[in-house]
Amino acid sequence: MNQPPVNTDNNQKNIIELALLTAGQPLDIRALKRILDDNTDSSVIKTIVQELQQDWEPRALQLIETASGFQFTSRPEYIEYIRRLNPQRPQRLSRSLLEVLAVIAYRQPVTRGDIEQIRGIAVSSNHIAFLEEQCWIEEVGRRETPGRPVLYATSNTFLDDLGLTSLNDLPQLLDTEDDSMEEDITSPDTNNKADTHNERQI
Amino acid sequence: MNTPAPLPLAIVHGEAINNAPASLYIPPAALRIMLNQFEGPLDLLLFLVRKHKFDILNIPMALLCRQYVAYVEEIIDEDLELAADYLNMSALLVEIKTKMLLPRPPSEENDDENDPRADLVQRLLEYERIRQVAHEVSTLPRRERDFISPQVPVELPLSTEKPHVQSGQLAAALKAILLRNKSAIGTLQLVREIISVREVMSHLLRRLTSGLRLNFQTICLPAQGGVTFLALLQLALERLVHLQQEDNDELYIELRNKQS
Repeated sequence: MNQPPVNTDNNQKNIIELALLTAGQPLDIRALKRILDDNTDSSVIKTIVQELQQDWEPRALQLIETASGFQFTSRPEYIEYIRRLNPQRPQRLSRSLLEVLAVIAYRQPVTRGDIEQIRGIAVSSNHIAFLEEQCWIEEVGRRETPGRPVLYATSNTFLDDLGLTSLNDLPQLLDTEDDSMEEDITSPDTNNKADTHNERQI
Repeated sequence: MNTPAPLPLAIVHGEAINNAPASLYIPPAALRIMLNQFEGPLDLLLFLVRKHKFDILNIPMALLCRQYVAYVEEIIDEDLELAADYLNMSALLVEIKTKMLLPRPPSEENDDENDPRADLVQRLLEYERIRQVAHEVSTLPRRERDFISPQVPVELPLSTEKPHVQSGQLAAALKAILLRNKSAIGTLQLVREIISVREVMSHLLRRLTSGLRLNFQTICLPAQGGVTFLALLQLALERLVHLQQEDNDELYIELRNKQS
């Protein structure tokens, strides 16, 4: 057995870099602490990670933090070159699938019925199955109403795969258009007479 | 008809459409193409409201419903659920219209909360927000599409060590199985046991949830082998488990939604 290098301030960075490059999954502060030495301060690890992020700045890989911890990813601008190595294109997500995912992400936990109410259309079982296969959504319980429908929520894998640390990092829901919509839908008082006239004809 | 016919506005199935739809009239064939682009009736209604500055109060219900019904009749054989969604929306619009036509007590006249349209307006707004963020989420960098996670492969010596098996152990194991089966047949005590397939399915799922990988051989005991086998097939059919045959011909079962 080779003697492991003594854990000194100098090689802590090497150890963390090695762990992140070989783990094949995100590692959080606690995992990194366990690898180094349980007595290492979290702030020390954070500083080391920041240093690593700077070290890798000019490279094609970047060290990012997502929901499950820190991990190396390729920089999005280089994806074209990865495609040349592996020409398999990932599946395109349809508009309806994205809408189902968005309802679950922004309104979780939700049942299928909730999704159908918001979208005004039946939810395809294939969509739910696909999202579960990706491990992007999971069952988190059941609503205690007749039929005890399953409640769905997004998973940490969903956040990891979008490079996000929490649901708060998702794009904001806009409220600004409320006013214009109200105007479009509810008629101004001045039109009331004409409306009544039209209705009678129908 | 002395004047030369003006260029038709549109040609559908070889038929010239000269008049711009005065209201909502869309020829059935065009309607079908148009509706294929919408995610259901709410999406269509939102389009109409936004594009044509429709006022829900002013939607010519009779015409719209006739359109919806014509469409429903066309798709009812192919997509019953979609047809139902459109029917449902037509019914809702008619209900709102009916309520609007009824006189309201003066005390409620300026009461927005009792506006029969309020609920639909809220749903449209909510759907519009979701539609918007769904688009934004799709533009976020996504694993596999926009980036990948590299992993430097490291072979740990421990993980490559093969388990030790001696031929004697194998022979003993086979003898034990034969002995067990023989004794079962020898006594000829056939007891009819009622084992629910669903029960075995749940039992298997519970064993699998801890992340275990089960060997098919070890779970299919002679006594309940048939039921276990049926339960496994049903679990696989319902996409709850994943069956995998390894190089050594052993069949393994694991939970499907577990990340591999």
